[in-house]
Parts: sequence; C-alpha cells; structure tokens
Amino acid sequence: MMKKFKFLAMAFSCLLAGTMFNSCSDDDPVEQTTFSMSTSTPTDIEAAGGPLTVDIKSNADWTVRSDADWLTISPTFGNGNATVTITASENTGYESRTAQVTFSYTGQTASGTTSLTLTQAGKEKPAAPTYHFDLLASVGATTGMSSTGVTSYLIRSVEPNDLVNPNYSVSYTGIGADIKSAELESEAVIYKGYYYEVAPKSNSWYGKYLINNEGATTVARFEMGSSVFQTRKYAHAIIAENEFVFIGSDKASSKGSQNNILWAKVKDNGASFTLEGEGVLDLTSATKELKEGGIVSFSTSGLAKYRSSDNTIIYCFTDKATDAAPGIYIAFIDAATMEIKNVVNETRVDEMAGTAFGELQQDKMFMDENENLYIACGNQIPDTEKSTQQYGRLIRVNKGEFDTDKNYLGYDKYDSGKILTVDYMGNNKVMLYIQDPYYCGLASTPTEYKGWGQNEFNSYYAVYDITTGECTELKYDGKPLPYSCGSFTDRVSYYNGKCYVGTCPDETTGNLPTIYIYDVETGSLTKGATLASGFYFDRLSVVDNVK
Amino acid sequence: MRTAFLLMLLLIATGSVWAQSHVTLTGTVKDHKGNALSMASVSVKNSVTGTYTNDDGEFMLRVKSGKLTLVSQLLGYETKELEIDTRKQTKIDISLTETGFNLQDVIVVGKSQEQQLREGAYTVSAVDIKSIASSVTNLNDLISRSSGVKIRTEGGLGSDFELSLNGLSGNSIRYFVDGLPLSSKGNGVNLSNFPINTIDRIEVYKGVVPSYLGADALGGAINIITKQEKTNFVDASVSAGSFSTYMADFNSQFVLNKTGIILRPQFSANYSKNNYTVHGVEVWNSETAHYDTVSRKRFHDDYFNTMVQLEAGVQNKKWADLFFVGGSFSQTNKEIQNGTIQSIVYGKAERKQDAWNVNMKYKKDNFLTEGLSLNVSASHTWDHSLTIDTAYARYNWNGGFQYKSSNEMTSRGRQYRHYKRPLTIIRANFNYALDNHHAFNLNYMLNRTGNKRYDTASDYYPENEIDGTFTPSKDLLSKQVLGLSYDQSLGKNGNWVNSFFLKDYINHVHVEQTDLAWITGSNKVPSSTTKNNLGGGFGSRFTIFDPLSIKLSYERSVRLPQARELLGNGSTTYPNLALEPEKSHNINIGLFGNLQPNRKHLIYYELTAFYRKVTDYIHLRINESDGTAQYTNVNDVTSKGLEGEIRYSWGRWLQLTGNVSYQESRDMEKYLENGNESATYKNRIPNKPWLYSNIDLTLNKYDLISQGDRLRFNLLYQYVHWYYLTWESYGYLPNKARIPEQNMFNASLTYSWQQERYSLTLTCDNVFDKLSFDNYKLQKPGRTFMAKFRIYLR
Repeated sequence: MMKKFKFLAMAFSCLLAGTMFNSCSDDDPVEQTTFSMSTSTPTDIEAAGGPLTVDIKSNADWTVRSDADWLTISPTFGNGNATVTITASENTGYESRTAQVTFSYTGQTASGTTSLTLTQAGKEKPAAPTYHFDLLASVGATTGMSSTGVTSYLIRSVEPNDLVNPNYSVSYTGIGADIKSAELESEAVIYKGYYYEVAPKSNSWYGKYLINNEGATTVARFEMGSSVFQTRKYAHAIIAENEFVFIGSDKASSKGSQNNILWAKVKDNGASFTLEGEGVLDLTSATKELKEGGIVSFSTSGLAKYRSSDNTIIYCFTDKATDAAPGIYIAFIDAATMEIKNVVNETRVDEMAGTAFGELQQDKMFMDENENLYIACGNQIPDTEKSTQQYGRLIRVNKGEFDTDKNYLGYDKYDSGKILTVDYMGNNKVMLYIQDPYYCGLASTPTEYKGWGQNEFNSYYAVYDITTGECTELKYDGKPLPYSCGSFTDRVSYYNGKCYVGTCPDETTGNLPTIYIYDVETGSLTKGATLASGFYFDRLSVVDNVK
Repeated sequence: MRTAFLLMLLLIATGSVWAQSHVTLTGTVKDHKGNALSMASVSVKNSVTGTYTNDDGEFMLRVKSGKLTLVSQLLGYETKELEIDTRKQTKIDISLTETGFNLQDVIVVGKSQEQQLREGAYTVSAVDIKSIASSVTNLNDLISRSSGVKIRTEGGLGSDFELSLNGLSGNSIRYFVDGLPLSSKGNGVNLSNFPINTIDRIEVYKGVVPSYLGADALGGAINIITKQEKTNFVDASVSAGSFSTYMADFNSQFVLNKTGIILRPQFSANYSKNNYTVHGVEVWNSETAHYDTVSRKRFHDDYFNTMVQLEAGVQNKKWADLFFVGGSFSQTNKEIQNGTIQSIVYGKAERKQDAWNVNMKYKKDNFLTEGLSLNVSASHTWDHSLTIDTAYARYNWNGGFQYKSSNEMTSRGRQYRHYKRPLTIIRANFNYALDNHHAFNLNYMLNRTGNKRYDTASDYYPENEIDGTFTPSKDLLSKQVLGLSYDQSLGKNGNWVNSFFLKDYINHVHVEQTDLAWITGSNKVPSSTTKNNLGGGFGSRFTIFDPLSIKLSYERSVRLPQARELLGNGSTTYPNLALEPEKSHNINIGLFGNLQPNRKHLIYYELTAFYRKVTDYIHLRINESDGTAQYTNVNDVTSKGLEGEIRYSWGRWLQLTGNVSYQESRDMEKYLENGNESATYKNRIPNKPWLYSNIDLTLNKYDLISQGDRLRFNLLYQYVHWYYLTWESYGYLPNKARIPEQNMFNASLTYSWQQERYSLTLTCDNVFDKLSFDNYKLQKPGRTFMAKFRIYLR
C-alpha cells in the first residue's frame, strides 16, 4: 500500500515537471527549466542495504541531500542529466526506517525541490522460538519408585535464551507449577506443549494439562473405560498425529499374582478426547510357545514404541512369575487391530533399563533415521548382591523385522555402567546417562553395593557412538562434569543439533545443578543456566509453545 | 542411670524412718443450704496432703497429728480455712459459701494440694465433662474448644481424626484413661466414641508431660479421668441425629451390700450412615463426554461401634484402698468411602476391629510405710483388625462401578488382611511424700505390642487373584518408660511449686516382615533392635498473687514410634520400619490469673508461649498417586507459638470464653541426606493450620419451669485461617492449593430437670451449612442435628 503510494507520488512529480516543460515551450528564447527524475529500482531497500540509482533529466543545476546518515549519495550535486547513486548501509535494527532524499534544482526559469522517500526494511526478526524448556525439580528427595520423601514437584518453563545463559539462575520461588498442589504427578507424556497423564487424584480419568509458570490447568479429560491405567504405570506410543495408544495393567505386578495387560487407543481432539478402542492384549496366548501355559504375570507397564513403516507397536515387557525364564519379551502389535503379530524372548539381557513408569519420565528407547529401534537394557554384574547392580546393553530391532538383531549388541565393550536414559542425536550418536558408583568413586570395588542409591552422586553423561561402539564421557574445560544423583530422572533433551544435558551434583562441592549444551556437529560443550540450590533436578524437556 | 534410680529408692526408703504418727480425719463439705458438695478439695495448708470429697460430700484424709490448717476449695465457692487440732478433733464438717460462679472448665483451681503440686507446674487445662455431659454428643468437639487444641477430622462419625496440641499432632499426643493408655481399650476406641457419660473430666497436658503418666509423649497428653463414685447409680442416654446417627450410652454402678463389692457395668453403641452430601464432586457424563460437577450423598461410610465393659472391685479395705478387675469388649465396623482423596471413591472396602481386654488396678496408700502410696495397673488386650479390600471395582460418586482387575485401595490382589496386635500394658507408680513439702514419684510403664499379619483371602478366592506381594509376619514392639520425679512446694503458702523429673525410655523392636521392602524400609534395618534414650525436665509455678501466676516448664523428651506409625494401619498407611524416635526440647512459659472485681464477675486469663525443637519429627506423608500414606521422619522441625484465653463468668448465668492460637512450625533441616542444602529450610510446614480461634458462649437459666431445672444454651464459633497444602515458597502462589478459611457455628440447647436427673439436648452443628474441610478437599458433614436424652439416677 505504502509502496504504491510512493510510486504514485513520484509519477506525479515527474508529470508535474513535464507539464511545466510543455507549457513553456517554443516562442520563448529562454530555455525553459526542466527537471525530472526517475528510478528504475523500487524505492524499498532490503535490510542488507545496497545501491539505488536515480536518473535525473534536467537542464538545471541540482543538489541532492538526505536527512539520514545511513544513505550515501553520489554525486550530491551536478548539472544537467545525470545518474545519482544512493547507497544504503545495512540496517542492523529490526525496525524498518525511512529517509527523505531531497532534489533541489535551480534553472534559468524556475527552481524547485522534489523529493523521494526511501524505505529500508529492518533486519528480519528472528522467528520467536516455537519451543521452551520445562525444568522439573523435586523438593525433599529425587523422584523414585515410591514417591515418599518427595514433598513437592515443581515445573518451571524457561525460554531458550535463558537456558543457554550461564548467568541465568532458575528459581522456583513464587513461580512455576506446584505439581502436587495441582494434584498431578510428575510422570507424564509431553506432546505438542501439553502434559498427558492419569492424575493421582483420579482413579478413573486420563487428562490433558497445560503446565506453565502460573500453575497447571486442565484442558481435557476422559473417563477411562474398562482399561484403567494406574498413575505412572503405563507405556505409551504415539501412532498418529494426536493419537495415542496406552498399554499397562490396572493391577500392581506381584510375583505369582495374575494380571492383564490392557490397551486403550485415544484420540486427542483438542478440548476433548475420543476413546477409539480398548481391550486386553492377549499376551498369555501369544507366549504359549515360549512358556508352558503362557505368561500370566506381567510387569505393570513396559516400554512401547510405534514403527510407522509397517504400522507396528513394539512393546517390551517382563515375566514377573517366580518361574520366569531369563530375559525380556518383545511383542509386535498391529497398531490398527492391536493384534499380536509376534512375541520373542530376548535372553542376552536380564531386564529393560526400566519398566515401572514406561517412558513417562525417562527415555529408554530410540529410533534412528532408518527406523531401527534401540532398546536400553541391563544385565546384573556378576557376583553382586542386588539385581539392580547392572551394566548396560543396547539391543536392536531392525526396520521391518519382528525379532531383535542377534548380530547386534550395543555397549558391549563395557562391563560396567548401567544405562539409565538414552537420547538419540542423529548421525549414530547417542547421549547416555550412566549410573556407575564404582566409576564415580563411591564404591571401592565394581561389585560393592555401596553407592547405588538414587540419592547418591553416582551417574555421569557420555556420548556413545553406535558405529564404533565407543563411549566418551562428557567433559567441560577438559574436566568431567560433576557426578549426578537420580535413578528416575531424565535431564537430557535433544533438539535441532544440540543436546541439552543437566546435572544434579553434590552441592557441598560448590556445584549447582547446571545445564550444559552439547553441539552434536562440533562436539563442543558450553555451559548454560543453573538451578537454585536445594532442589533435585529431575527432568529437562523441550516443550512446544502453545499458542 | 539405674544406679541413680536405686539410690532414689533408697532415699525414699530411708525417708520412712522420719515418719511421724498420723491420724485419719473424716468429714463432709456442704453448701450453706446443707447440700453435699462433691469434688471439693480438702487439704492441709502448706503441704502436699489433700483429697477430694465424693459425691456425698464426704472426705477422708490422713494427716500428721497436731495443729494444722485445713483448706477447702471449690470453684464457685469461697475458699475456707479452718484451724484444727487433730488430737482433739478428727471429724470436721465444712460449709462453703457460693460466690455465684458456676463451674465450667476447671483449671488448676479447685484441685487438691497434691494435684496442684503435680499438675500445677505444667501447662495443663482440664475440661470438666461431668457437669455438661448431657449437652455433649462428641468428645472431640468439646476438646477442640480448648486453646492450642485443633482436631482435624476426615469426615463424619467414626472417621479418622488427628488432634494437635500446640502445633504437634497425631501420635505425638498420648491418650490415657485414668493414667492407663487408651489403646488398652482396643484400637477401635478413641476420643470420638468414648462414652461421655462415664467421664468426670479431661486433663489436657500441653508440651511437657509429668513423669507419673509414664508417657513418651512429645506434643502433650490427654488424660480422661472417669467418675469414681461410691453410691449406686444408673446413667443412660440415647441420641439420634442427622445422617442416621444413633448413639446409646449406659453406665452404672451397684454396690453389693453384703460384701461391699462394687460392680460397674458399662455399655455404649454408636451407629451412623454418614450419608451426608458432598458438594463439587465430579461424575462422568458420557453424552457430553465431560465431567459434571454435582452434589452426591456418601454411600459407603457406615460406621458401627460398640463397647461393653464390666468392672468389679472393692474400695477402702485394709489391704487396698482400691482394687478392681475388669474386662471389656469393643467392636468397630467401618465402611471406607475415601482414602485421603475425595475424588477416589471406594464402594466395597471396609475395616473391622474387635478387641477383648482384661485389666486390674490396685491402689494403696501408706503401702509398707507411712506416706508411700502404690498404684498398680495391668492390662492385656487382644486386638484384631481386619481390612477387607476384595472388590475388583472402581466406584464413582454415582454409586456405580466399573470392573477392574485389582482391588480398590492398593491396586493389588484381593485382600482379607488381618492384623493381630496383642497389647500388654503394665504400670506401677510409687508416690512417697517425705513431708508436706517434698514428694517423690517413681513410675514404670511397659507397653508391649505384637503385630501378627496374615491374609485369608485365599479362603474365598483363587490363588492367582490374591495379593502375591504379601507374606505373613510377626513383629514385636516393646516400650518401657521409667520415670522418677521430685515435687516440692516452697514459699509461705506453697506459692512456689517445682517438679523435677527424669525419664528413661527403652525401645525394643523385632520385625519379621520383608514384603514391600522398598516401601517399608525393612531391608534397611536390622530385624531386632533395642534402644535406650534418656529424657528429663522440670516444671515450676510461682504465684505472685491471685491475679498473676507464672509457669515455666522444660522437657527433653523422646517419643518412641507407635505401632500404627511403624507398622501402618493395615490398609492405606504403609509401615515404615526405619522410623526413628522423635526427640525434642520443649519449653512452655505461661502467665495466668484470676480477676474477680466482685462476687458476681470472674475473669480468668491465660497466656502461654511455647517453643519446641524436634529432631526426627514423625509426620504422615500422603502419597497422592494412590491415596496411600506413610509416616516418615522430618529431621528438624521447630515449632513455636502463642496462645491466649480469656474466660468471663457472670454468676451462674453466663460464661464467655475466647481463645486464639498462633503457631509457627518450620522445617529447620538445613541439609538433605546427601549433604545438599534443603530447599525447604526455614519453610513453614505445609498442610497444617497455624491460626485459629474459638469463641464459646454459654447461657444458663435456672428454675425456669420447676425448681432445680436448668436451660442451657451454648454457641460456639470456630475460625481457622486458610493454609497451603504444599510448601508455601514454591510455585506460582495464586494457583496453589489451599485449605480454605473456615467459619463454623455450632449451637446447642439443653433442658435438664430434677437436679439434672433428666436432660434433653438439641444440637445443631455447622448451623449455616458451610462447606468445611480439615484436610484437602475431604469434606466434613454439613448442617447436622442431634438430639440426646439422658437419665441419671442415683
């Protein structure tokens, strides 16, 4: 609109000059003064700057002046026809700017001024970030199997700029959502900016919540049908845009006691849900070939991932019976019909890296670019007291396959280090969160139980290369990061070439919980924001902004 | 330590050498009309010797022979002093003149010298029940009117409640009946269902608890004193009220003429459907696919409780001043509507408790030697509780349910969980008065609880449906508390009273259970432990003049975890076997006095400040994920507070009491287990009321229709300031959950006639039908009407 107007203005001024010329011709020996100018290029200049030429057709003396210092004009005066070049320097601001260029002429019969308005666009505004970070901290103790000890969960949203700022301190005083006060639980599916969970105050509904620095609000809920999931105890797979499948048991798993694995397919319509289907996963029948009578006692929840190429949900679970065979089980389920296509028993590992909370808080599996699924698992370290003293392994289910790749066993160069979380960063690189009290100097032998507690500073971060099988501990300034506590925490998020990693260190050594930013391409590590002292830093998530 | 006790015993023994010859005084105390006055104190001035009159106004007192001054006191009457020479006179009749002040609540005043000496040095308030028993339908309501006392209930009749004294709550407070732990009546018997008619008065000890109670209390103690009368009587009452609530109490005494054997049969029963309406609950509307907010009646909250008791014994025999043996049976059935969260609804789960008890008590003054009195009691209770949680159903507020494959409360297999907790309590108390100014008291208390758990769900359900995580076990919890105290009365008129005490706590725990180790901590503690802890303190009271007295008390106390805390409640409260004893420093300072501008008007005031530093504070932590809970230690909690009370009486006709309590409890645990600084350091403990107030007005009209009748009107206003559910510093404050401010009015009207022989009471609680919560969103009943009719025949 503005542009058009300016063209019109210019055309009008030229016309005016032309009329003067016409009206004063012929019989007067004195040469009529003429002045006109035209520009071939638009008068709108890009932010980067650049030249603009103005052709002057005149028989008079003229000068050109500008009221802006960001324009250089050459030549600034002359006589007769000429081409004037106006050069704009780069606009480093985000706002556009205008300048008035004034042409003055003095001829034999007339003198006057005409002007030209130039507009330079501002630098392109960086797109407002479409995401932010949510930092979950707990008060009293780190999140765990039984949440006793934890007196509050707090979620704070932090802008990307602040998160990468080493001088920024994340405080929870008077800001953030008090999750316990909102009667929610920290374990939730985070999807498109919302939290999805079975709220603790309910034994019947599944809810969608908006959580921000002003608390938590309910967006939508639905009454679960016959498939009732317990708070924190279910696996999930996202099978389509806004469509989830939940898998879990409504009964706490216990040795010898029978339970069913239930499934529900739920569609999120924005402000409401639709229950698309529900039922029982008949894993007992499906495991009859693997165990006499089939498995009847299942882990309350397992781990689930959706493979889109063949519309399959891959569900990992364990047999909780006293006579259970070693290893884990992997079921391949048709996402459309929820029929079980195949179940395999993987005996090279003892357990998945975690089952209790599905992947509601921790990432235990990932898919690479080729849709090969990697599952973090663990084996008990020989000669140890407790089954939780493990070293990690990665197993793989290749794209299109209905069994694990028996030729692949990841992390097999290492006999210690329990893998707690995995985050795929592309290019065969994985960020691992590894628990290892012996490595962290808490235990004097690799088999000692000392130091395995979830409040001990027994864990570290390392980058694992799937191709080489090598693992490299993260270092900042040549030194390893302070060791962290938390067995049920996940302070790692990969986003757009960068991996954000948070520590939860021993504060008596002068360290605060800190965010480090790992650049996947360069391998460099920079320091970001810190958390106020006294909190257990439990989860770092990249969350989409909600409009 | 033991040597010290032996030494003290030796001292007591040698003390008897100095004993002088004594005589027994008998007599009566009457008003100017010649009516017998019961509960009047009769004591020897400047000494610890004293007693009360019985219901016939009679008293008996053993004193040193010679000249002495006898003091008789009763609140509402002028104190009388008589100089007598016991060599000439052993029968004394005393006449007291009414001051026009009617006894409502008794605070220290009007007690015997002996009791003044014992209790006077501590922060104690006694609530007189006898005179208002007709008007009271629930003991909890009455006690909660005292300053510094807060009772938080989860719902209607029979629901769980938590009493807090001066900011400490729950099991920090010990309950006694005549000095013997209330738990001996069985776990089903508590303040809310204790038969009111049998109670004489209730002593509320705040903070420091005297050693003779043998308590390992931390927050204080509540001692229910039952009526001890010598004549035959029948006392019966029936009540009925809203939500199908019915209550009956029968309490009587028969003296068999020939043998002098006293029989005391007692019976009480309480029933309520508790089907009051809860507002703002949500039910799913499948048509709109949204939740509707509605009001619904509670549908699974029936409560039934009964207690039968028989005592037989003798009084005033040569070999015993008092000897009783007794037995009781109590039974409680309770349906469970909610856990700790109102939105989680149960429709089938229930809890049943029954308990058998046998007990004996023996009391003898001048036992073995002059001045030594012995008080022994022993009790054994077979306590059995059963939690039935077998329904594979998920109920909603419409009363309907959806099938699921686990039980209601714990999402495990079907449970028929039995807990047998046999309880043995033995208490022995020796009191020795060296002379009129010095007395020693030695108290021993043994409290032994077993905990046998087993499950019988397999009798009713197939093996694969019962809870596979459970393994039966037998645990044992044994506590012994040995206390020694020395009481002295100094100053001209005994206006300076001191009490010093030492307590030794021995705790023995033997634990077998190993299931759910990650929750109960059974893998963290050795199966058998014995721990010894020492505590002690003092109390002092100095009366400058009647309008101003000062009290100061201090105690280093230890509280051993109770069975319920350590071993859970069998349903929604999990055991925590790693629980540590609570230890605390308690300081109480108080000012109090009487102002009596003239005979008609009396003002009593009391101002108390307390400071308490608790390590390993035992605190009930609720797990919102599933509505279960567990007791855990909070390392360091400091609680301080102020409370004030003013009572005004205008003759017998009007009493007005107002009190305010303010408390500050903060988490003073600076460091976490792993060395990091705690984020909650210096934060106020959440989910705890900290400012509340009561205003209590009573109006009496005497001789309204006939001579000896009375119309009593009572109005109670209770205020509780709102408080946060979780730590107040963190998160966006405007959207944090709060337990809202409460303003409650309760009213009652009682008409009694023929000298309280018959009485009829109408009460209306929550007059304005306001929503009320003590715990987050767990609604209490709305407007509740009750009628009580009582007959008291003597």
